[in-house]
Amino acid sequence: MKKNIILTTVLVFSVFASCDLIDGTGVENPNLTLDAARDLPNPATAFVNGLQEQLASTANSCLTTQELATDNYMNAQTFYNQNVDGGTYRDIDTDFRNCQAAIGTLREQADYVLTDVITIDPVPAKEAEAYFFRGIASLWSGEIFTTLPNDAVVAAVPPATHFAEAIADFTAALAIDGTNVSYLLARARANYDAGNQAAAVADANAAITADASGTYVRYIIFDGVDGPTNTIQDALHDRGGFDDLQPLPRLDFLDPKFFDISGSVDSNVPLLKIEEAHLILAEAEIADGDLPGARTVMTAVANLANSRAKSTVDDSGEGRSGQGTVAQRPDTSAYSVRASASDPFVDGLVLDRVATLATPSISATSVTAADITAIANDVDALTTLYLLRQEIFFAEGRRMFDLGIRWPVSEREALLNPNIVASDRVATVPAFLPPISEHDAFTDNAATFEVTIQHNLNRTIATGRGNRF
Amino acid sequence: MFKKLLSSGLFCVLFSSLAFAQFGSITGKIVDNVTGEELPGANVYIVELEKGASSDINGDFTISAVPNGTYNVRVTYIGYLRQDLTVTVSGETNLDLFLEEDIAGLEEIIVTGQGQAIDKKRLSTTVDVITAKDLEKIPAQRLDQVLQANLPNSQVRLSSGQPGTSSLIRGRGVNSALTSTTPVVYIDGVRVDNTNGSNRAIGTGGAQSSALADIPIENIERIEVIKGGAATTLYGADAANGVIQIFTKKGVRGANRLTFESTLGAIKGTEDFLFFDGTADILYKTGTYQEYKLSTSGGTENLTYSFSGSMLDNDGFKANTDQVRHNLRTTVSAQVNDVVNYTGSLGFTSSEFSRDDNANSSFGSYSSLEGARYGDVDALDATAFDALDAQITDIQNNVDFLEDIKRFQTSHNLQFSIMDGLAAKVVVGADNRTSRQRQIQTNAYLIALGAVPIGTSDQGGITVFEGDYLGLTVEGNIQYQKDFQDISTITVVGGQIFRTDDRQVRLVGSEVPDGAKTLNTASDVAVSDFRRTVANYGFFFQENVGFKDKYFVEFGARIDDNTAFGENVDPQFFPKVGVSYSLSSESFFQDLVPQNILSNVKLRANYGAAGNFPTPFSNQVLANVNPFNGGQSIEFGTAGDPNLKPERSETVEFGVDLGFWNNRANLEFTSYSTVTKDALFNSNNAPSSGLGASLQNVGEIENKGWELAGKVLVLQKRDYSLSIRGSVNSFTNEVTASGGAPFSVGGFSFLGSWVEEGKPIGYFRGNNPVFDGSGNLVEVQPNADLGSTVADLFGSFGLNFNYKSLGFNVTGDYQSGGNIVNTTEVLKFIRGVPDDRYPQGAGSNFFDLAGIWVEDASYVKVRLITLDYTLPQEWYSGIVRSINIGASAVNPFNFVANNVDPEVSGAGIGGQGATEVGVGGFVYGTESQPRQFLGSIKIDF
Repeated sequence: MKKNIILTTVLVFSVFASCDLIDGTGVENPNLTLDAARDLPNPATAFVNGLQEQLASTANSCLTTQELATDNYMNAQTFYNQNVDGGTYRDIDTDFRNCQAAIGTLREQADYVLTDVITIDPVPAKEAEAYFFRGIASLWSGEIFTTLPNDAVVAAVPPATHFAEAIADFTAALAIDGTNVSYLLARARANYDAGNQAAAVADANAAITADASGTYVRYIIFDGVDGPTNTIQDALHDRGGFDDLQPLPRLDFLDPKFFDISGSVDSNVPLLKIEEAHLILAEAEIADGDLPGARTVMTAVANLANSRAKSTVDDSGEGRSGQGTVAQRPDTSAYSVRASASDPFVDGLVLDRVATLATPSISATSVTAADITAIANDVDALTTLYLLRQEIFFAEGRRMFDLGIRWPVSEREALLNPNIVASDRVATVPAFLPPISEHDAFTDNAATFEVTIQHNLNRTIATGRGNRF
Repeated sequence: MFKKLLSSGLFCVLFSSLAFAQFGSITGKIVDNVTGEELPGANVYIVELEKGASSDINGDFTISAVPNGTYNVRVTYIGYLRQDLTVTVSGETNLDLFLEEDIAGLEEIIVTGQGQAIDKKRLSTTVDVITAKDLEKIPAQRLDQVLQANLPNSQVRLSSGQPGTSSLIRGRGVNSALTSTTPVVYIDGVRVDNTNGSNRAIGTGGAQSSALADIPIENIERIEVIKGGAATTLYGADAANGVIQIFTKKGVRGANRLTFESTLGAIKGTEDFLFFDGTADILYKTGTYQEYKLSTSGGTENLTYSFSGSMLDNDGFKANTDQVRHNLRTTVSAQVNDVVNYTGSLGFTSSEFSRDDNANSSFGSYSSLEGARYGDVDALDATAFDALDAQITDIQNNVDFLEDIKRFQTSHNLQFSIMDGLAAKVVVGADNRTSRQRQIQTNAYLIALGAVPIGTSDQGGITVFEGDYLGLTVEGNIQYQKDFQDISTITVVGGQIFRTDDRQVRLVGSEVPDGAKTLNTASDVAVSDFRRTVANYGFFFQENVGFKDKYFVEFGARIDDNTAFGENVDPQFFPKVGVSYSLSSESFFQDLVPQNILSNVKLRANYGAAGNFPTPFSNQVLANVNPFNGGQSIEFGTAGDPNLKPERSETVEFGVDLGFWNNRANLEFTSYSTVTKDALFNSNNAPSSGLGASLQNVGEIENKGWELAGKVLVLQKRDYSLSIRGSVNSFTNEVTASGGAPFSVGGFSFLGSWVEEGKPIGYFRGNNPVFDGSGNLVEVQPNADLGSTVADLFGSFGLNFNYKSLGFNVTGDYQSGGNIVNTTEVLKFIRGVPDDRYPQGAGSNFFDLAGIWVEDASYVKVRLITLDYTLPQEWYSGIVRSINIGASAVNPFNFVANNVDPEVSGAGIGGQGATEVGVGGFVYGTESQPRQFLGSIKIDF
């Protein structure tokens, strides 16, 4: 009996004592919760770096489709968006949805940094950056979409509201760092977008003053190793098996603006550059009827753009389509191109795709001093100015706003956000534009090596919409 | 000397006592009625004496010390019909037995989903069983291939002809928008890795490596498949898609047996689906196939063992699809004492294969050729063709992608026969799968592809992936059987825990010089790791009550907790209840209906719930912490939900099992309706919220269908038999609540696989073009419902003929209806290959033409034809016991509705990781399963 008691005791004890050894219910989460990340020492630096990363992700979600939506590029035969080339702007378009979702994430993350992170790690420079990034989210919301919610699951508001909020955020950033060129340029752009001439001019001048080098650029930065890598660089150059996106022949000399610099380094995309300040001033001069002043500024900005360093890229592998139903596009420097049937032919716009191609990665323009001197009236001036804007901001997602094309609020937002109304789900295409399917159209006389673009959209802007101010 | 005297003395005493009591014995041999194959392990039992014996490896048995007299003798053997006979023992009595195959499976013993073994007749649910005998006819290299065309109620589709890639297994509909339809897999009671793909694994454009493809399948005794609902309730929050359980051979007592088997043959790419004949001329080659297998088994009264090892070398049907595999499996079973029986099993698989880019990769040679990247290959002149041939050869010579998988799986099973009717079982085991991938993209490769200019030297890269999966299972249960006159009860209570720990690391080195094969040479290395751990644990009980051996009621439940549940969620309760009634056991039925017309009628009905637990850690609000430009960046991660719980599939089913002509034919019909409540959908974060997709229990999915399977023993004579089997299944699937907006679960922007209220899961959504009579595009209907992957009907069929020792076997499967997206055709459209479905120059916008590329996915495929013959014994002697030769053709015939293989779905699966829904349906530049022509010889010693 005594032995049994001892044996039973040992067994029972062993069973209980060994439970720990076979308890497999403990699980370690290797990830940080958001609260734990916020509670790290000096969290502001990493969170603001996260905003920088989200800026790159947002550019990846928007930029390529934005360029396709304009006359800058067309999609000959890739799986990138094919609807926008033809002018089909539906709220079901997943690229539109992804773009607005990425902007939403940029805004909400910046919001979180300002309300939850800066409050416990108050670093002024980081706070200014957080305002800047939130401002960029508002700026892009206003530039790209007909309307868009300016907060999580609220009513969609028009561009003017987004621009006003962007201006408020850039002002808050400037309150911390008053001579920061990017904040000044960003506010100048927001004021320009909103049509606030005086404020835009003031900020543009302040930016030029603050930019001692005269060559300021702030980039959307990509990470070729850890990501995000640059999507538009893939679309423009790096796609081996497929053909790349095809530029309008008159812009051929600007392509590829972005490409794989090396196996581990991607191209960065300019977000803000000092050229913008000059372009704003030029448009203000035209608005004020000061054509000589506008000519001076345009000459200066053309010189600045063409003085920017060029990169060398091996472009010998790039085709200009020519497969299947896609016609061979102009691909030699023998071509001359005119902007429309009523414009003169210009040489040097189409390049030979060679192994040592010098290509602009910041700015360049085909506008010459002579072109500027020849400007006779406001329409000419605006036509030249918008060509300058088109070429200088080429592949940077700016052309859509200049054309006045805006995308609708996505179907998913409408289904999940009861505040969205039917008019939010409609794209904006200005009536003065020719059919969008014609924006990329041109005729190619392969015998004479002459290309005629169907529409000179810069003149269309000048005559159809006129000055921004 | 003393010992000798003692034994002689004992012998005399025994002999005299036997003689005095007039004892005799029963000896004999048990063989298959048709083939004459000796059946080891069959049981012969004398009812009155409650004693018996089992046959040894030669089918021989002896029951000694049987008092002379007349007895009822019962002979049982799994897979064969029970024989009850009357035997008169008088001295040494000879009893040779010829058993008939149990076509209807009426006497099967089922383990899966039951805790412990239980007679199939007591169940209200259905079980599909593949026996060792079936398996001998299948020269398959992977589990999903074994199951293909051999399960009456499930479809198995291998998504690519490349070795080791994923598959789609689908039975009772699509219950989830979160997980693939692959059932969970157990080997000898231990849960093993069954995931289709890894989160950090290297993609080759669509072909994902799959853990299902390398589950050790050596030395299988039997496979049981249960299909969800009440059958899987005891697996709780992990089994809404059903359970596949593999049982390994344990060996049979008696003389040891050694078997050597050699299989040699050729492997050839199928050209049935090629658009250009030139694709095969350039890319395909006929490869060799060789496999060698050595197995041995045997044992004593208290200890049996079974070992099998094999080596396989498959050259592949094109460059970079070869595979080398080594398998080992040993199972040992010991009767430790009167109470304890131990069975331990250890399996090891080593698999190495090379892989080519394919599917949604512009680098894939197959997709480039078939997608007309090089134009109309068949229209090229000889010079251009030779140049292309040389370029593709150059590309293929520079492909460098190796995968190396090592997998150990072990199971330990202790069974306790505590007292009459009371038994307990403890199972402990593990599955450890390590996978290493290394892809080297040299500058030379990229130059050959035309992706970078000649002379490029900084674009070379190495990507290395290492995955380590460890699954642990511990289960214990107690079963108590007790009869009360006409009432029989079986009670099971138990608990189970399994945990999986999935660790993955991926390293990407850039600017690697050509020739280097180490990351040390890279200018930069990006590293990402991944760890996902989950533990699921719960208790279950089940009661099965029988009355007069014809009415049965079963009920039970499992209560499960899981670390992936949200913090506000309590343990989940999964109940089941079922009834079955053997109408044909009623005497009035037997009086009214002749057995030789309708011999078995069983009615059954049940209700049961089972679940799928959420993706681990998706219950928490997480941060994404990443390296970015040399610093640390923090962004929003998973949005999290503290109320996250498993989705819950509740099934009601009714069925009838019929046996005809003395059970020489059987028919099983089941009608089921499953509602998945609290379905885990990613649908409900508005873009403006700034939150990415996050799981919430907001959906509901309905699957309704029926299953019909039959088998007929057309001929059954002493020397020959012919049986045929076939099945028809159908289901409808509908998302009855989406909880928010529709969301995409696969495919492409121009045409995706979507989840939307009122539609089948993963239906094809895209633009539908409308043409007028002249072929002009007049309208584009956006967001159109373009089709669904759900077939109207599907099933499998088989034929088995035996004449003495000659066997002939055919299996196949089919699908009628359903759709696939022929994405390869989109490439052809873009590249201008003429097609009469749209006017030439219809516009370059393939987004608007999406509906054109949705095609009928009907098919009939003959998967296997085998012929085998056991040589007459007079042809050999000595230690050779038997020689069997065989020939088989794998994937010999394909019949499809369109010129595309509906089975491959590179892109559809490629977009789906381990945790995403797998409806497949996107055919995109993916090679089909190759043909194999194999000859084998098997020698038993």
